Amino acid sequence: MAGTNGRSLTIDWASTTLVGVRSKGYTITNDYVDVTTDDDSGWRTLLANPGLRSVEVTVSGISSDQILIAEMMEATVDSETLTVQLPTTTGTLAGAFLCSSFEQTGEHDGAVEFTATFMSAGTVTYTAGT
Amino acid sequence: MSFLNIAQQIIFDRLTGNLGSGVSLFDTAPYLPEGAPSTSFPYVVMGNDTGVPFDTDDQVGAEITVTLHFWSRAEGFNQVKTIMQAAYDRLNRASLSKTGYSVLDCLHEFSEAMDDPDGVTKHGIQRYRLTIQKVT
Repeated sequence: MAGTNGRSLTIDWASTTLVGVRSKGYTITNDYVDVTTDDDSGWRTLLANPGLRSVEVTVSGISSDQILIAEMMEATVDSETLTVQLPTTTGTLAGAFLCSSFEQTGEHDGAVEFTATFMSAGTVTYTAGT
Repeated sequence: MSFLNIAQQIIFDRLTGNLGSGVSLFDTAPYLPEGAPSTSFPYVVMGNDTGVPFDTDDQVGAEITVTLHFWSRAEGFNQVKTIMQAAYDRLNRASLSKTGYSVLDCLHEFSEAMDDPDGVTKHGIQRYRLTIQKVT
């Protein structure tokens, strides 16, 4: 399978695709429960189901959409639907997320840039592409 | 239209008629400094551009550097430096606009004034960096 460019991975926040984005990514975490005992001969043993499942999404880019920034400010206290459009036909990840951090920086001789992190709160649904 | 052209148009519009009395602004000067009659001076020439991408996922853009050359035959450096200051006042940190484009910033990078090898002409150089995005 041929590779795909990074632009094909997009983040929709409250049904609106984030603009000004230069870098983004997501991490799916399964925190398994360690039940290792003396009887396991020194090998770690985990329960089959994770104790905690979560998804974290990070986005950064040029702060070019002030309306979106205002939305992010509000999102620090309210959860919104976030959808990760995976590259090509791989599918989507969707669920309720909270904006856990939002940062803006600006050098005197550069553009204002932003970084945001979103944490899942509840079930995240994967829908396979067609 | 390329971002180089856009940057040139923006600067041309910004400087035309604003560099002082009798100062012409050219894309290509009709004469070279060496051998030109002194009545042709002072004048300013645009040129020596560079461009690198300034893209995001949804927009294309460019960081353009534009170099201006200032030519004077007046006694001493006062005239060429005065014209350079006029250009600086019009360009550095200026709010610039161009239909269909967003100009994030226009910053002065350096200035230099020197004697031309012909011994009578003064040569000033300035470079500006424009950050431009195409509006989608």
